[in-house]
Amino acid sequence: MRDFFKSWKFKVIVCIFALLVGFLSYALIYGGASSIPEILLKSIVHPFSSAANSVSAWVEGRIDALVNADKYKAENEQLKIQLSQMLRQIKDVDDLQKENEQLKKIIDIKEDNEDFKIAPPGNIILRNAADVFKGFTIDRGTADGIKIGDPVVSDIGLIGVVRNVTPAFSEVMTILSTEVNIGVMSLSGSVVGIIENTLSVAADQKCLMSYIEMNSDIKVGDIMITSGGSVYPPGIIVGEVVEIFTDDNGLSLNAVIEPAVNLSALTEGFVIISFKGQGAVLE
Amino acid sequence: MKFNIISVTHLSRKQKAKVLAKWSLYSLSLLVVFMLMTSGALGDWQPFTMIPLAVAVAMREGELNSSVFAAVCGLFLDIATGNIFGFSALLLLPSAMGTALIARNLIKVNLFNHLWLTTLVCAVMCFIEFFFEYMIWDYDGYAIIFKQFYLPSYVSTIIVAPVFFILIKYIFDAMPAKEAAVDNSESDEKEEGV
Repeated sequence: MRDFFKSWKFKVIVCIFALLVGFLSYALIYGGASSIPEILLKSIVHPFSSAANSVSAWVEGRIDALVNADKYKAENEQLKIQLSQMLRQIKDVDDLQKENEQLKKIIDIKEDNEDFKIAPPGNIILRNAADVFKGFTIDRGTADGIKIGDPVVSDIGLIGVVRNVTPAFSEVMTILSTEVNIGVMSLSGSVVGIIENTLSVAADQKCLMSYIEMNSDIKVGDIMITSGGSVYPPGIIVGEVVEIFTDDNGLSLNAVIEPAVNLSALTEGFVIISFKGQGAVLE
Repeated sequence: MKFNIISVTHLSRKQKAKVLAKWSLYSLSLLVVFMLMTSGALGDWQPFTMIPLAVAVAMREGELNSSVFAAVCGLFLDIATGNIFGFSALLLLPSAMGTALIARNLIKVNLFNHLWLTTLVCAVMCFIEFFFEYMIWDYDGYAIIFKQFYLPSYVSTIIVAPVFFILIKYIFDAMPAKEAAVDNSESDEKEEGV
């Protein structure tokens, strides 16, 4: 063994040791800065350590999935419950927001018509796609005070009238229907007439206003409102005149009215269950 | 002075190939243990597997070869553990040289001797590393670091040490030791039994 310490092999080992001391000193002097051999070695081993990490992560993931399967299943169930609760909460918030907006609209309508008594907002739950007059059903009925013949409005204008009613639902006939008769007039009150639709006009999603005096000053662009009566309260906007023509008998004018309310895009309606003059009959 | 670090000139082509294959397998083992270490699969109980590998090689190869191999193991260990580059190499190099000298002159090459030599090297390395990194600076609660990090890692290193003794034995035995041990010509291999 003594010979070894005198041999050239020992001297080589001492040299390598000195070299390592040099690496260490360099790192210590320069605050842990990487020396060239370190950079070189790290560059060489980097792909291997990356590969090892990838493999390790993959294996760990598989083992984890196997070992903790029961835990994850329970967690999954718990999350499903939480998710359904959160979805329910979101729906509740949506419903409340919608209800809030509807109530605001009712307040707007009531501000202009203090005598109106309006049923709770009715959401359209059924729309007859084949109905050319765009009739629909709302989720309010006799339980909410609604009865046949009650007018239905939106915050913009007149929608129609209740045609049929059950305790929970109401079927609404729109102002496009050929069955409606609505007394209308211009905002100034100088032009009066009656909405009496024909199929051809209703098919274009418009209303036909008849019995307009030949010498009236009606013109395209005029806004028509309900003139009031036993079925419709006065002052509800019906629509805008888009066309005027002489009736076939040559004694009066007809006007085509574009409804103010977009009946195809409706999602709700307010039923006026009571107003001043409702059901009154002229003597 | 005649530099004949790896004197393979007296070997046949087949024996040279075996020497090359043996050192390639040692290097491959080093690379594999490095990959295992850097994968972080064992957490706090991550053994410093380069130590028993270097000791096992040192017990069977010559002083110079095993010292160089141990230095490389140390450098890999430094990269894997994030130590200052050269620190572990500086400790492993004399450890391997001492191991090779002891194994050649004083003890037999067997599992028990490998185990206590590994334990001794681990203890020395653990103490020096811990002393210079924590004790000398008198950090608060350095004993907790020793208990939670150093102790588990070094204990697990000793636990896995037999695996490396067996691995290196198989690699070494696969290549005829007397012919293949290039600078180990004086070596009188003492196999098995204390």
